[in-house]
Amino acid sequence: MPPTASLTPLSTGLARASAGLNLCHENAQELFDKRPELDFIQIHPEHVLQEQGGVYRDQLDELRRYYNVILHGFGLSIGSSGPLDREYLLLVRQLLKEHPEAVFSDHFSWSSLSKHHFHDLIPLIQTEETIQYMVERIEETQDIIGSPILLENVSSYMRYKESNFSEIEFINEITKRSGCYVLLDINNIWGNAMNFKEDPWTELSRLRPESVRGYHMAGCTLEKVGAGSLYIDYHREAVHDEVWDLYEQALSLFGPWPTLLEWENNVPPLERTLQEVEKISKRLRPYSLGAEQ
Amino acid sequence: MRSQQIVRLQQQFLTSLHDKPTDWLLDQIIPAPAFKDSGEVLGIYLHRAMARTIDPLHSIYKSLEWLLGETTFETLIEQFYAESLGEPLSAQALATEFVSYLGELKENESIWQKLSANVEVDAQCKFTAAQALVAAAFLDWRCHWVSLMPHQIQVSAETLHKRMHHRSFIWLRPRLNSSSRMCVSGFDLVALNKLVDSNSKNKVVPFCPNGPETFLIHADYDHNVVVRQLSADESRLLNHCDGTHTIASIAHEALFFERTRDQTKQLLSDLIDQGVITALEEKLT
Repeated sequence: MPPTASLTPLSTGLARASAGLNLCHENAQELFDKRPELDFIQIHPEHVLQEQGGVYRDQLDELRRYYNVILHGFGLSIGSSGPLDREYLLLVRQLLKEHPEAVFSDHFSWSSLSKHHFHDLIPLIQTEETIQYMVERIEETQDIIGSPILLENVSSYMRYKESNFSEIEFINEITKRSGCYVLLDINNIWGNAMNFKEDPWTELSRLRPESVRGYHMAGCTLEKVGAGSLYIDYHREAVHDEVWDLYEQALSLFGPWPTLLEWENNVPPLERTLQEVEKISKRLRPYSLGAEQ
Repeated sequence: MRSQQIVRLQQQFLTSLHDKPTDWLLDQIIPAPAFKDSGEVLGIYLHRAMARTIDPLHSIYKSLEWLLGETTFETLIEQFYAESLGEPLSAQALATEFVSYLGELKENESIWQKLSANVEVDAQCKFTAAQALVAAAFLDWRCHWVSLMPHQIQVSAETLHKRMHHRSFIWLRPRLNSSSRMCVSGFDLVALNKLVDSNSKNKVVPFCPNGPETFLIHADYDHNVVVRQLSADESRLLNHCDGTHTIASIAHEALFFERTRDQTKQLLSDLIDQGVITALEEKLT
């Protein structure tokens, strides 16, 4: 058993069949003013670290007192060959203490090296060496924050010649060896499958069912590039119908887990994003009785 | 343990941010079928890295962009990115690096000629277009900084006023709101700020006809950023509002400038109302 797998189990503060919305600069004012009914909101620890004050920070602090939260990072860069940002992880530890209902998640990717940030989630070479390295880094992270983490599958538009595991095999090995869990982004499973001409259902069904602990839903955008078109994960439109279908399949395979609607660019009025959240709630409703942990 | 394979790949990515990608890196990448080759997909990642890094500068450096125009400003920030040693995650850190970059450029560097060509300074003004650009950039940076500073207002204006009525109020030591910045400029920062806010077509940089003036940039009680020019009395008084000068000494010094104690007290009171003075220190710390 990996040393950090015996840490406190993932919080059960949130109902498994719960639906939430991401908090971002674009929707903060409306969310702050209207306070719609939501099971939880997602906040980025990076915003707490970077914005020590100001209007957005005041709203964030007020909203995290008002709603249940989950913590989702984009700057941990767990797959980076540079050192982990201990200051950042200590902040996450503190936030988890302040929010016992929360879990912390980041991505199966790397995004920075030392002080150089790509502001993007770059896929990893999927090899045995990377798996071993990721397991070490996850254990270090879990040791510092005192809780298991969730990692999200990323959208990718390229792969590496030296990879000898598929994305799902890679994720399965890491979760099995490290004790971390998967934050399953259904749109990324679907988008990657479309972009690489694979079957999303087959990819989904290969995941270790016991590793999934949360879902992300978002909209990707079809764009033309040099030799055709592909889906880019901009989070700037509604979730595609095919992605809703895949979500339903994921629910039947892995059961209900807190599900987030992410809409961060070209953000429409709150009313519109809440309609998407309601679509999540509708699909979770059959599971809401007797599905609590 | 990190493998040489991971290190090499990530270092090659990093190098590609500011240089041509190596053949080795391009050879490692298998693009999604829609791309014509690995160079195209890598180009998308690298372009997004640049765009996401420098995009926040557009919303922070509004005055500078207004003076330079969108295209020249974009060229400037892309040049800054190309010469940058790091790409910080936080927009605040990036904004600081950018203004440092601009402040460190020597006036005789050719880039100033290109940038200054877009900027019109009044014939009566004795300062250069390059100085106007740096003044605008500093103004933007200060406004951004002030907007993100935590408000450390511990007591209300009402409570401060009550303390001003105590018989021993003269031993209190006023302190400026810590989210404030004072600066001196030969350009009229208040007028510049207004021109930028209204996206005025008049692009002549407003200057201070009587020589450099002192300005205060602060966030009011609602976090709104305020840029204002200080009178000589306000400037003198606020320069002493660091929690070390008593009202007694401030009022005494004002007498040398023909300001009565009541006038000084009234000025302090007004500055409390405006959220500029936010604390009256009492303890000997």
